[in-house]
Amino acid sequence: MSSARPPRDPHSTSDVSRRGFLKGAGIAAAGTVLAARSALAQSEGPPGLTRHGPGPTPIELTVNGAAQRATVDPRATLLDVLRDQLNLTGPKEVCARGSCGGCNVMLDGVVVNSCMTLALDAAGAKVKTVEGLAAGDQLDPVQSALCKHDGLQCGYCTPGFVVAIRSLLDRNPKPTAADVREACSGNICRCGTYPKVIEAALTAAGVQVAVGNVADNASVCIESEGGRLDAPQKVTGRARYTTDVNLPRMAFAQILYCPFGRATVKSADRDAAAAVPGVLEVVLNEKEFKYCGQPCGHIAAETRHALDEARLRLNVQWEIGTPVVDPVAEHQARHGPIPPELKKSGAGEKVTAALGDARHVVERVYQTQIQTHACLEPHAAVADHRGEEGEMWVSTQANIVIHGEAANAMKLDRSKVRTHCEFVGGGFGSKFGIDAEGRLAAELSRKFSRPIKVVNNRKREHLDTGCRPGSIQYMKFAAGEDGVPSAGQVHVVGVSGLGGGGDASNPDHYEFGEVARTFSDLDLSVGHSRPMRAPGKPQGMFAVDSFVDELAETAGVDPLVLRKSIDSNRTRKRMYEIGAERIGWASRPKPDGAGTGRFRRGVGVGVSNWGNGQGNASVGIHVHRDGTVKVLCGTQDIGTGVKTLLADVVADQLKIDRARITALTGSSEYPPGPPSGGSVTSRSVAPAARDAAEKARAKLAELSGMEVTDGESWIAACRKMGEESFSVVGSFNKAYWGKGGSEAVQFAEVEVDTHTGIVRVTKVVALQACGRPVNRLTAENQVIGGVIQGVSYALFEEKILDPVTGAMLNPNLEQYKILGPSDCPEIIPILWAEGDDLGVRAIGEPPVVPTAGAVANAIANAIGARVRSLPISPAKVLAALAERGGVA
Amino acid sequence: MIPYEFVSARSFEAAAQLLAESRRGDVLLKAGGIDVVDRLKEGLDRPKVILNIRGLRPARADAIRSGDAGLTIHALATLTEINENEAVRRDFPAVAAGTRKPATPQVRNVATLAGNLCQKPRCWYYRSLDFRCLKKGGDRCYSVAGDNRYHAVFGAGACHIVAPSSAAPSLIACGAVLRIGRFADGKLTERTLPIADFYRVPTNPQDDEWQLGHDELILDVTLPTSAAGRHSAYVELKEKQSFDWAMASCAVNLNDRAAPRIVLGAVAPIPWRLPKVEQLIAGQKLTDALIAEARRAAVADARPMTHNGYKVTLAGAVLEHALRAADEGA
Repeated sequence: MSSARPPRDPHSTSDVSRRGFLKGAGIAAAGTVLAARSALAQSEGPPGLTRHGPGPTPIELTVNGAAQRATVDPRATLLDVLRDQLNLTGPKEVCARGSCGGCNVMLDGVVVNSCMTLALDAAGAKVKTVEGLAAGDQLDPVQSALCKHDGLQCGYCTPGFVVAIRSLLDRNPKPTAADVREACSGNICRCGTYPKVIEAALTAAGVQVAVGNVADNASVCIESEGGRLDAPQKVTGRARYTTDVNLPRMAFAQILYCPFGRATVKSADRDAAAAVPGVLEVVLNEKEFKYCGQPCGHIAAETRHALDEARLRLNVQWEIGTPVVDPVAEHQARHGPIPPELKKSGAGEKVTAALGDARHVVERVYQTQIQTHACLEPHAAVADHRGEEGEMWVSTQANIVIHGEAANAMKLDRSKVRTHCEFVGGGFGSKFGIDAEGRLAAELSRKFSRPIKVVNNRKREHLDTGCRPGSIQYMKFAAGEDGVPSAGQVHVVGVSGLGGGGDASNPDHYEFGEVARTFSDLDLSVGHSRPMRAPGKPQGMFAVDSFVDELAETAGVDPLVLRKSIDSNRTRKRMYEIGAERIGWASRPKPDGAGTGRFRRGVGVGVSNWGNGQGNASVGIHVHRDGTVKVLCGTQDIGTGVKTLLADVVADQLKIDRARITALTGSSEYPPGPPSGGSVTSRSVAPAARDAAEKARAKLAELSGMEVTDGESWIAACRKMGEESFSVVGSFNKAYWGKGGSEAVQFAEVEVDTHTGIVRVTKVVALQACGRPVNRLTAENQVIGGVIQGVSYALFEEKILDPVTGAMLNPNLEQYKILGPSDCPEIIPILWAEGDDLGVRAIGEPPVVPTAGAVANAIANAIGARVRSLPISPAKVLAALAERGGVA
Repeated sequence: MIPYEFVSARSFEAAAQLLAESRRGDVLLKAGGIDVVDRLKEGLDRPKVILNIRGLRPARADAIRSGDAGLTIHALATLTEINENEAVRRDFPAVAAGTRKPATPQVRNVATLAGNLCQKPRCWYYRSLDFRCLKKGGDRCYSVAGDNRYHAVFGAGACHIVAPSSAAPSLIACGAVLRIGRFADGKLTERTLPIADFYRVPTNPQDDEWQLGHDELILDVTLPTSAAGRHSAYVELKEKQSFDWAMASCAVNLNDRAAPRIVLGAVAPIPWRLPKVEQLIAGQKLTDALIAEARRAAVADARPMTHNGYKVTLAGAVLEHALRAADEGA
């Protein structure tokens, strides 16, 4: 092949070992090595071959402009070498199978998945990682645009997007939005930041961005333009997550699990697994395992290759039993038919009577799937037990919880243990403890007296780190001429793993009159549920909002008119008006399915609310003589922007420049802050930060003898104070706490391909009450992310169980489908601020709630047929259309 | 992964010689590595030797050459190089689409044409180490009693996989010819094979769905000038528009109206040619009535399983869309 490139491999293991060639040999010597190699190869088999391994082999490559040498196992991927040997931890291992783009790097100028590139294939190549894009402090235009537009949340996927976009702009300096979507179509962001990423990419290219996402209430924001405080760390790959922690002498461990819904170990080759060089221990328990993903032991080893090899050599064979996977059959067996009979007394009796007299009776069953959190950073922990003291890094959304758990697991006093989680790659409710991963790391670190790292692979992450339970929701209501329900029956079936937790918020938010409600929790042979962003709400409101539309359809009234008469919330009543105008409600097909042609447009609506509980928080402030301020809180920033909020709030309270403030979170050494659950973090931390700021002001006034009112007097007073620095701690202070709930209304517009059943959500108008938005960019980002997760839940995501064995069939990011850039609707977040109080309200969870209902209603409006089961796949849309007798 | 020796070939001849001197199963041929690394990571393949031919990738300018016979694409041309090539886009729009639609930009930058044609199926039972299915020497196809929403609706034997290659339907529709090499008589010897004859449902499910000896490798693929023109198209239907596998796809070539070629993808264990539909529309003007008849004829012998009846509807729909797109022309 005259056209073939010269082979990359400049040398072979055998050469190197025999000649010690690599000592002092640079890349320039490659030609010499090649010649020597050919001569040698003749005697070892066919000519024209270069052999490496098995066993470590040296390679040379250029990374970010610098020549690098590494000794690699032939099994190592380029990603392994970058992260484990060159300490370039910007590229992340997320799916590990080329489905998500988290590991993107440039290889000889083109973007590739470094997780699917063997290190030996990169020998002699030029590699550029996210770390190589900035020139010192000078960010690449893509990086600065992502900071400016807040095109990130948790930041775990960000390095992959940066590289994908940089690669696009290198080839196409003036891309369209469609070009950006396509270039990023191999990247997944679980937080749902695509619209901001696309805006940023266009800005980086100097393309005029049509600003469709500016919130109506932007003017009331406290800090409307300041970007996310830690964005520069995230866009450069400098942010260190738990998975990025590498310590000297660190070993690795992995939890083994039962892959079927019910099974016992038939055989396993423990000796072969233990014999793999580098393996520290192999533990496999034998009993009956009762769900898919249930831990059954672990392996510990000195390298990740040994760990993986031992897993394969262990070769566990299973005796597969009969799992519980069919919720309908299980309900029938345990609780009888759906629905249960109404009671002959109380609410049941009243409902029976009302159903008998009703003008309309509407009876429907809705079903929702099991959704997994699918955090891009898997559950992970590193434990370093040093005898008298210990240290742990855990990917968590509850620093305050993990500290105590870490001390317990390490069997050390709490005061001797430090825990850390400055950055976490998504939690969504699944990371409230050190969990099995942390316990194993702690136990083994104590046992082997060395640091131990446990990082879940993607499969275990899907199987057994929590889920949003599925549901079956039966609703039967009596309604009047106008569709207004007067009484009815609701039966909710929770579909989840052992331990239940599957209730859905049905009925909710609307006035349904007298309701006879029952609930049964089923224990399927799947991993346990854990809270997932607004637990119980998206599944409940999918059914509730679908049902309200079905009441309206039955009565022949406009669904929005019906909502206004059964929704007593005053804020939402106004949101209906504004949202309807923004989405074009008036031009929706009437009746449902009234359009023509292959593609049908439809519009639907869904709602939510969120209570506003208060959480405890402490915030520390160090004030320094040069006028700079360090704000510390032991809570964590899961991507919501807590660090940014701390800085914005303190700057606002003290009227000083935010650039003087450093905010830090994520350590047991800081004043304790709340877990990130129930959407309380911002609303608890903000009042404590204001309280701390006021205490700092008072203390400074006392120390300096000056009045401190603004930035100028602050600096003057700091210079004048007698101390080098001082500290104060603030705590929750009701004076700065906002009242009221977080109402939400979302309008979705869809386009349905009636030939194929493929649904595209084209636009979502998301109205979200938020109290006083502290930072417009991060607040909008929360709303947008909620909508995107909601659309993904409505259309794509599903934990698919094998009906025979109970195995999860899609434990990856390829067939567990998460919405990508090309599926992302235009989203218009409308931050709904009322009054002038300084209170911050919950916005973490409520925006994910209304979306699925709104999308389902829009689809029904478009095609005149309803899908009552999530996800709304093309197969289900086609079935609904066929049931209706095809399209007009 | 289990340790292996990594052997890089500096020529096709060297690679072929090693294959010829090795036992079947000992050596795993790797080009871009997208499918191979996936299988190694799952533990499905545990070769003694990875025979790496990735280093034989041609320079971009040499990946696709125009000659008397037509357009010749190097076996190791990447999908990106193919779909960005001017001549491919102009003369073989179906092939351009068939190499642009699949996977992701970063995968297409690495995935080679030969690798795409010879990738193993994506069946979730086959791809999981936990299921010892027919294709892995087991005693049953788990999809039959299991979840078969993405499985075959045409032509399945005991094993219900679907052909995963998105390039293959277009190449068949465009009459591509493979040049295949093996080491014999002390040198690389070649044979040619129309890609239309390349795929066969194997009698033994453990065998590949393509006709390649264990000592053979694809050298290049030629798109004949006779099939060129703007009237070819490839359409893919996916649940998700960002990276996803097709539920159904269709390649159509109408450049020779008297001898149209139509191939469905992702619905059968091999790319599913529709000879009856080809006969039906040969020489005909594509009216709405004829297209409706074509749709009926296309799915007349469909055999859906318990969860994939919708794929029969999609097969008809994607056929219609591809027919109309090819008729209109790129």
